[in-house]
Amino acid sequence: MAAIVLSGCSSVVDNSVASDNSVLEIVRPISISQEDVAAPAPFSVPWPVSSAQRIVSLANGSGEVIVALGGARQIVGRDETTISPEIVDAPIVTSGHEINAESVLALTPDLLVIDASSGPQEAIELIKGAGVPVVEVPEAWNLADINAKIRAIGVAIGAPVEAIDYVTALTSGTQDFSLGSSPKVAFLYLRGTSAIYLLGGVGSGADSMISQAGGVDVGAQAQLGPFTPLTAEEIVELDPEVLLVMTKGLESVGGIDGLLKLPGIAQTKAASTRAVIAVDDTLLLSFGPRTGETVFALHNAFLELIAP
Amino acid sequence: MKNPGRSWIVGIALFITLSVLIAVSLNFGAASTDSVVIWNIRLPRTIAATLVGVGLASAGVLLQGSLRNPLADPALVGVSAGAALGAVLGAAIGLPFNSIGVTSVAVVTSSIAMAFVLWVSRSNGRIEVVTVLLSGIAVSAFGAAAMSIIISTSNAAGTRSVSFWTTGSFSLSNWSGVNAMWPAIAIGMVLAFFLAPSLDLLALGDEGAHASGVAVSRVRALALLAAVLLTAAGVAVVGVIAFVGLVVPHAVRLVIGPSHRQLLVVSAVGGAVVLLLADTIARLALSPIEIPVGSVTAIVGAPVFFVMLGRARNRQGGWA
Repeated sequence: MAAIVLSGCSSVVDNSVASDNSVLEIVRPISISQEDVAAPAPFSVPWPVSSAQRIVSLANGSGEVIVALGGARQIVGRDETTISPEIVDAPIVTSGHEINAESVLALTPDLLVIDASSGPQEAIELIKGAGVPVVEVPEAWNLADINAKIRAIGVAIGAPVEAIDYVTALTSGTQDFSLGSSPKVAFLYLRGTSAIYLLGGVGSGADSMISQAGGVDVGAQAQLGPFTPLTAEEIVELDPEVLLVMTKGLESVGGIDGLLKLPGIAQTKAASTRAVIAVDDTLLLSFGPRTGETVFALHNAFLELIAP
Repeated sequence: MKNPGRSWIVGIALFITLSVLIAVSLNFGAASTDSVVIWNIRLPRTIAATLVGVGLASAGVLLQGSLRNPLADPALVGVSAGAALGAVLGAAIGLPFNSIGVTSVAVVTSSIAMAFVLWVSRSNGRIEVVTVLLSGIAVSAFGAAAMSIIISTSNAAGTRSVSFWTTGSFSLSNWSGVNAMWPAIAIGMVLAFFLAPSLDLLALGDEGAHASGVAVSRVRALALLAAVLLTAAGVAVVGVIAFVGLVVPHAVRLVIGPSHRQLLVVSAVGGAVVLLLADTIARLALSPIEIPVGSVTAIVGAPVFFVMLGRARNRQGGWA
């Protein structure tokens, strides 16, 4: 595989290339996994008694924020994207993106944390009707909004001010990287098993991550909406040098080889150099305590890909 | 028979239209036109649309002729759903999408669906027009349900959503897709061409055809096999596209008459024209967003079907 990459013309006999060990060490895609991005140590000062004691956390990324605030023990229910090791034993009360009201109520929570993307509305009304306080926290789809989200979650659950300050400081220091020549990056949301292939644009979340890490999001540059159906012609026209995908999304299209065979994708610069970055699904768009580290990992991946 | 010169004129006119459409399809799109875009994206897609159009329209001719059913269409009699189920099954057991392997599984399941519909619809040696369609609906519903189950339980990379299969799309057609479909379509067309004169005699009714020396059962079985090959190969790659197989042969029959050999050839070219036009509309109407091509054909084809349904009903004096 690596040999084909180097010999632009595949008819070239590849003995010389195959014997070059450095070539064989190239591993694509570049993976950024949970293990690569360490979660920060949780804030460890005891909480006031007035805080929520049985929290069901369903807002995007709210689980890991609560863990970082030091509230892991208060979480009694979560959504399936929250996989912080401290709370992985708490039952999942969503299926897909749908809240199961009965599962939530069975946990007798004293607080439900949701955001605008949570649903269905009927389930939320049902839970409210049963007397459970429901707090909707603001969504964050770029780095600038993270701290507002963290503060809202912190206040909602009654976390100490020091804890909130501690967690917001984690991402406030995120470096804004720049690269000599910014790589043109396309973010692809892939669910091959459902024939869903979407191209990220302005407001996908990935646009913020890409620009912070020193790249240019080609979909955002073309002023596309957050997610538009990917067409062969459009991706060829945008001609990205790097493809950014989520790990499970990549698996669903048959891995990097499946991805690079899709019409249009196959004709991009990124395909010719196999420049694919796969970021853990729960990491890329969580916009929480680990986002700063994720940006750094993404930046390093860009550096590796554009190295001569 | 109408004036045979007419077939030539219509055929040539359609062929010229097809050439123009191919030129348009290759030269217009969201990407700027260069040799890579034409060669790797638009050409395989254009060929796929042409081949599927040829296959569906010819399959329509064969189904209508061999079942003596004016309302037969691969999607309406359940052949397409059978093929789609096979393709999903093939992908679920790990065969790569757009491969001969998937096409082969689709041909097998599609044949089973066809045989089942035929078996259910036989009554006193006749194949009932309406029962064929009703069985087709049941088989299609079964196929869609089975596909849903396979897709939601499979984690194989090749499976696609039910919506991809039920509305059809050329957006994933590449050279492997073309290679996965042309052999079956070629075999189907050759078979169809040699069966065409016997289908003319079959129009006399089974006894009449038998009296004229036609091996009725064998001709019918081969014609249906050809229809399955022509349909399943396309469905395995692009999903189910309805109404092309119904509308095109009818329109052609109105103009050039019922002689099957001419009907087959002219319908094949006509099917290619219709589907390539539909795909060009699907691709360019809301560019850069694509509409599923099956939606385009259904929006045009469904009203035509109603008109024809009314006619067939009147001819038979109602189906109450």
